[in-house]
Amino acid sequence: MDFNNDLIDWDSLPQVQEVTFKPLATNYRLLSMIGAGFSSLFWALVMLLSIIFIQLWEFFYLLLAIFIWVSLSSFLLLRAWKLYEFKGYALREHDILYKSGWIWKRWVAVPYNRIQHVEIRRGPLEEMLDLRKLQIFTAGGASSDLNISGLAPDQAEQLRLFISVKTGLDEEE
Amino acid sequence: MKKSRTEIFREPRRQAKNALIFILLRTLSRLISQLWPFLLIVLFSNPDYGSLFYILITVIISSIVLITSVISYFRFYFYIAENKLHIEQGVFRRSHSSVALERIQNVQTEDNLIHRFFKTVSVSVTTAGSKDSEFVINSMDSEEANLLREYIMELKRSLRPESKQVEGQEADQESFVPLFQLSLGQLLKVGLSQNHFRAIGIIMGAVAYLLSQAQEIFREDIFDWAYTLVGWTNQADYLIIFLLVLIVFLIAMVISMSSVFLNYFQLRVEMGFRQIRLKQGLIRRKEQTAQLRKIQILDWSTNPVRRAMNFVTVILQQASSSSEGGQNTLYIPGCAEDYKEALIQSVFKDIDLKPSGLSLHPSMIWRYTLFRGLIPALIAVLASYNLFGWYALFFLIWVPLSYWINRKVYHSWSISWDRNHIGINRGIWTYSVSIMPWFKIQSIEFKQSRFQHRRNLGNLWLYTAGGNLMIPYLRIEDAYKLQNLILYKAESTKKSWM
Repeated sequence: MDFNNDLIDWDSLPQVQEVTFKPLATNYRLLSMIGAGFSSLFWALVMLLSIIFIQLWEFFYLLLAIFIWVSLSSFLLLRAWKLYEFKGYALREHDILYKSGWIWKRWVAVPYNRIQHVEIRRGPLEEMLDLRKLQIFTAGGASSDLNISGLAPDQAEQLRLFISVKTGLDEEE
Repeated sequence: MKKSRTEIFREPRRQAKNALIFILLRTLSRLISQLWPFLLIVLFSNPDYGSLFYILITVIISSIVLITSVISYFRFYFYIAENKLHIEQGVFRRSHSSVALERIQNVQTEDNLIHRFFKTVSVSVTTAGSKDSEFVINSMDSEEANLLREYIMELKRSLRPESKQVEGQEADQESFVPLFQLSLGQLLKVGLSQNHFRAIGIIMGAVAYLLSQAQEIFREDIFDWAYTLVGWTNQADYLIIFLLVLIVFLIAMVISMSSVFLNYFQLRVEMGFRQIRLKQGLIRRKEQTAQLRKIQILDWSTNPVRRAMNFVTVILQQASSSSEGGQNTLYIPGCAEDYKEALIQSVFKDIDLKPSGLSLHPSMIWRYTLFRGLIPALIAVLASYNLFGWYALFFLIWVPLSYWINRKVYHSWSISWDRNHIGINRGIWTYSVSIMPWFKIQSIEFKQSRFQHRRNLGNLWLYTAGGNLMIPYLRIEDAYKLQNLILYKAESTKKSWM
């Protein structure tokens, strides 16, 4: 018995690769830029402290530190800018898909009938930029949970409601 | 009549009298582990007022703690009321906890030598909630414990809605058929094939800890003393070092052997239609029961030593309701090849794995060689150049060796499947196979590094409620295929994943 012939016509399955993804709210770009800005500041502080404590007060080391910091920060900022283009989600009838990543790419699929609960979160920054973060929890532990940040409030609420209805429906069957 | 006998649980009850022994033993061991530096001082120092002071402190603290623990026995009550199991306890701060009977998942009993002497057992009640909500009754009459278990299960059944009642009754009255039992000889083999290096690590750690603790007390530099000892052996003979290593290895072997004997003595695996039951242990007999439908992944693994003795280690990963981890893993060492097949067949009823024809991309070999071979070797060369000079270049031998290993690893990977399951085989020294029903999946993730993205490759992660599986360097079209299939399987089934 050949598995391929017996069971599945691969092309008749619903195809993940043909899905078009919806982008996040445009404000997300700003959010991730601000985040990158903060981490550049953090690294600047780290380098300053290490220069002070290891006493590398030489022109060469200062130049080196500045060079490293500039290239690191520009990479972080560029990545934050670029990320927006590569993030997106898609709702299908039975699952939610999410893709992200510029250098390390990933996409995730979570079937609705595996979702335990859904939460909307927002931090102070997100509050300011009017954004929300949608957290989707499964029983597979932290690694299989799905976080979608950078959604507009009504977008997030819509998603939460849609998924709640979907998971509720699937439970009743 | 059973009914009238179960009435006793409606009244607040204490634990059996011998629970006092366990409470005292536990308190004593806790005391000793906390106070042993004091005890050492008392034993080894010259009798003067200073040591009298220490003795006084030790005695006072110990007696307070011991008296409190004795009182705690008399202040511990459990009873069933209003369809809840209640436990009241605490000496200074009374606490009253209760759990609804329908939330109770299992009533497990355990006994050790002392228990058996008094014909009692310890009872633990596990619930579906968080890990803190476990109830433990140190000791109660074993007949009473069985009665309690039946009573709880009966009440639980009567609380269930009509539709589920039939199924529940069948599951509760399951009859078990023994699958196999570890004989003494097999147990010995399992002990021999353990990883003795772990025990060596434990010995080293224990010795270092003891030395550092002892140093604080004796104020002499024990490490100096140890170094002189080692220095002396250096001068004397390499034979002594060799003997020392041999002795450590032998001790390690004894340690890991005895831990195997303690934990897996008379390991017995019993199969029911819906459940699997494990009984094991020398001093503490442990009984574990798992619902077959809650098993997410079955792993079996072997290494050349075990292969020569013709057995494998099987691990059943259950869906965990919380982060408690170990509790939900059934570990079956020393499973003979024939029983392994029988076990797999009974856990996944209709399994018939065939090679899938999927293969990983060979670029995995040199990418792994780059990250696990060349880069670590270069770091080692740079780091040790000051020490060894040009001899540091010898670290580069690791690169071809690593290439050879990664080639073997690459060829060891294979993926098999049937209509309901996927099997992933891999490993060169430890060869392991993980089997998972498609629909147990919680979510799927496909990850690509920059390099993998250019080559249209990636790592596919399959997440379940009992652990994760990863297939590296999969071609993107195969990954899509698998993802489509798995999602279809998970979404089209009405079966519960737990």
